[in-house]
Amino acid sequence: MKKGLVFLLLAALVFSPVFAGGSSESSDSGKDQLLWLYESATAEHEQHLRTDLIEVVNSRADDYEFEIRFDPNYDQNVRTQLLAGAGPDLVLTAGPSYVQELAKEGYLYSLDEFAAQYGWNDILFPMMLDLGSVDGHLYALPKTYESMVIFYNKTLFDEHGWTIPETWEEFDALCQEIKDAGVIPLVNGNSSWRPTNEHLVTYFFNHIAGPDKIYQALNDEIPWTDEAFVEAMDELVHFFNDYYSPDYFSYADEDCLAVIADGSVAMYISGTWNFQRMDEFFGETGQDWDWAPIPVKEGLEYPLYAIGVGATLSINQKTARPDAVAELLNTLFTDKAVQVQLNVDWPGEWILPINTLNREDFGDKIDARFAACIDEMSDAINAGKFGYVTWTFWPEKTDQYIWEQVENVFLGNMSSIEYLEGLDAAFQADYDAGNSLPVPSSV
Amino acid sequence: MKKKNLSGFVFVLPALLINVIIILVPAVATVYFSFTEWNGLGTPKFNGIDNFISLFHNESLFVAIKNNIKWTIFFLIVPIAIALFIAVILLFRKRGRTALQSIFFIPNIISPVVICAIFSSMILHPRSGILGWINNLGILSEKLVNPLTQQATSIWACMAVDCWHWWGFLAVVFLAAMRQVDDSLIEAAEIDGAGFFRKFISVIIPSIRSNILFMMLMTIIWSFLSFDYIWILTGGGPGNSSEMLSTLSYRYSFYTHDIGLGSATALIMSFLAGIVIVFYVRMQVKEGKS
Amino acid sequence: MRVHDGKTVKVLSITIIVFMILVTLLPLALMVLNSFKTRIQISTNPLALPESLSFENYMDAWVQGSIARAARNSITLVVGTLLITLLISCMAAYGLARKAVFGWKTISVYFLVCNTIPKQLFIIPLFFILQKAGFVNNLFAMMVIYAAVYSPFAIFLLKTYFEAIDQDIMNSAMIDGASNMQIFWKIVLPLVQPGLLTASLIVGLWCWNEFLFAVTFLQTENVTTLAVEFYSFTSRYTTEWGNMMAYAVMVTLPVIVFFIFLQRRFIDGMTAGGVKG
Repeated sequence: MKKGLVFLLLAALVFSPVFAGGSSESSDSGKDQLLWLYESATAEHEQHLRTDLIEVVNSRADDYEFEIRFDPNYDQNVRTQLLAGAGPDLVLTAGPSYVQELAKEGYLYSLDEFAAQYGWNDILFPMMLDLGSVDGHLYALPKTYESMVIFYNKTLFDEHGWTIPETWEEFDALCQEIKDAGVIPLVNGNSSWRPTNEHLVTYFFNHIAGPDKIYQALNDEIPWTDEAFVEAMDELVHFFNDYYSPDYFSYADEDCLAVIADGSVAMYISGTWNFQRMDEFFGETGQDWDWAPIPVKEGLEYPLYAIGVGATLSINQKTARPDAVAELLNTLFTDKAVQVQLNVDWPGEWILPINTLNREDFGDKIDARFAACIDEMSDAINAGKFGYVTWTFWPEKTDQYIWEQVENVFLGNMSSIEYLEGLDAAFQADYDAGNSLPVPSSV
Repeated sequence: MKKKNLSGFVFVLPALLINVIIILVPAVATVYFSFTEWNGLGTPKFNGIDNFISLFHNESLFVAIKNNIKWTIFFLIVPIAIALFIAVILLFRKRGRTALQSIFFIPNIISPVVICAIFSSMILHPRSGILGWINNLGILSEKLVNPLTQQATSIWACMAVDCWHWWGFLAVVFLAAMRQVDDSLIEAAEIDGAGFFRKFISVIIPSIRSNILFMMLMTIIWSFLSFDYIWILTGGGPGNSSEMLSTLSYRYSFYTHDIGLGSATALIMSFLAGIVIVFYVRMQVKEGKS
Repeated sequence: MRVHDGKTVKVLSITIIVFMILVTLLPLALMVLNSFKTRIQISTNPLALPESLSFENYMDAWVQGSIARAARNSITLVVGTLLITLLISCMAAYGLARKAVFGWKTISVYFLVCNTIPKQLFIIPLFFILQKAGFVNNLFAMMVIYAAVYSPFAIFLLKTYFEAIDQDIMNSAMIDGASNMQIFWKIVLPLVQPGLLTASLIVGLWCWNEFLFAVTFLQTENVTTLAVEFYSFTSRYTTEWGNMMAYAVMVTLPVIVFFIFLQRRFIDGMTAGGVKG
């Protein structure tokens, strides 16, 4: 890369070096200043995270101080800064596949010593530790785990005497009944976040084809063109054409929440992260909401939760204070008061993947519907009966294929089998390149 | 004489240096990257013409090229026709001409992010836009669907929004050219009994032929630069129905993190644009001589 | 020019003009109207007049969209870009206009090409080189990039002004013993000053509105411009339509004000290239 060198020299001449910045620096108080770059959040949520966690950590520390900044482009910015040899001290990533990439290139600090020191291995679910590991070393702690459930307008359901069934066949019948009553059965939308597409693939794969098939395919034992996946995709097409709102490509998450809140649509299958927003939208219309597990095809065990990790926490290899970052992580993962308060103030964002937090710890401080959901998910993980969300267990390029190309299935440009053939090819390429992720077996 | 040449060069040097660093060096690097496989994190690996092979096996590339062609043809016809027509009306009717020119020019100075937000949420959105309002009136037998989200119409909808901000600029350019047309030519045509359209077609248009041809040439070049409206309005979707070479290259480089593929796409796009740029440069150089 | 067309043509052309005015102004009217309305009022009828002139949306957008900070960044960027662009373009235009530069033809062709090639040809490596060097999210680096991208336009615009300077006046001034600096300040500058103003307006406008480079190179909150901040606002607060439109008005208003006062220069500058051919 001679050209690059020449350019760097020229750039160094042209640009003043004053503009280059470092990561950690000392403040007037003589304390080390440490930075955490977080996703964008509402003003209230930002404030809660500051009071519930950052201030607690800072009050206990005598020689360092954490600062948190909220950034809608945090993923791209963290990447940019890490590559320039800087970046936040505490690194938030959008999931295990990013950890793999960054750890392999040496941008993350190994957590092995801290895990041993603080006993994290006994607290976190083993599958979650696997997800944060690369080549046998721990590099990231999953911050929250998530699943997909059906959120529905309870007022509307009660009015018509509808209930959400356990089997897919009955669910299909219910959707038809809702449609006949002049209500749109289901809604989703990808206008502000195109990867939303993979949510549909996730629940049709898991709840029609089932976790066993997915486990086998992810371990390259069966191809993605297996009959079970074809059936899942066919069902997806049927649902998309017959039961989903036609405004899929116009709607954003907020639109979907608003239309189930006003009762023009009955159900929204979405992530558990949306628990935090239900009251806001239903509060506006004065109607009531509830949730239910997604029904499964006959032969699969109910209830089924497809588990995923949408965010992980790591230590920047370049930080001056790995010990301080580890202390923050330890507070987050072991301090029950902090954990409860975070879940009260910001439900859905802090479902820590640990076996020490129970429903009783929350008392009546959090919404009972949300508490029930956390309970059921952690039970599922403990019992080893869970499914797999695409954004956590599929290698990065394959995942990209899943959400980019499925639009062509929605639109009728591609048949189920064509889509799955492409998926199989993309997966083989990733698998052969050694990019596959650890897949814990579900019983 | 030689000494004077070199001292003159000093004046051009800063601009040249900055241009070379920001444009030429990276442009050469794009050629290099297009023959490598790189995710932006490690080191680029040379992989020969693999990127081009995989691009030519990729349907998106052909959809993008087709859309680029549609885009170019649309912009060669629709905005230019509207602009010529409005300009000639303004030419014949003096009243309020300056004010009207300014009104038609305003969309051209507004940021694309703002224009796209207005069109996608205030006009075409099924909940907040005029489209949704019409649907709620219930006067249509079938509900309107947002054209940006239909694969048959998405690219045309993007063009329409871009055209809304663009034609006024052309109208002003053409009006300025038309005002230089000799009055006596028009009067002579009137004496021959020419009506509005006859004057328009057989006097005005031929007189400003070179301006029109120049704007058409620029239209072809600019159509390769189109990025903002598609990226903001549809992101190339739904499916890949509104993908253009510019958005495809950007997506590969900054979202898929496949810099090799992105660079190869950029190279193909620049090659196509380059053919037209050669004409443009030759035209400008010739003009500089005369 | 006298008009000798029949009544039909007159009626028809007025109708068409009125229609085009509506088409042009309706989206802008929607922006302003809905900036005063609540989310529910907008989804009920986006065309209705606001019930009151409440500036609540403006205040919300101001805070949520970090408008003060983004505007400061945009202004810094525009001013810095103009300083760099005008300085290097003036020098280059002066040199090229005198044709006293070694290889001036090649250089002119190079600038012509730079002015027209797709930005995708260089933006990809530029990003990764700057990223490696730690210059992404840096306003100064952004100014230099804009200067590189916009200087060819400014050079060709200014060149025509420099070419118009009468060489005899310069020569006689030199004979009278005026220094180079005096010649520049007393003779050259007043003559090219209108060109400088036009170039500033156009380049400044482009900088203010620019999306592709800004969204790629400026992503952290301390450097984002209004255009980028607005774009991220629209994807974060997708259904806060009232706030979104209030934000849009605030991004657009400065440009419109400039345009109203200096429209002739805007129009002449932007259409210069088109008419010349």
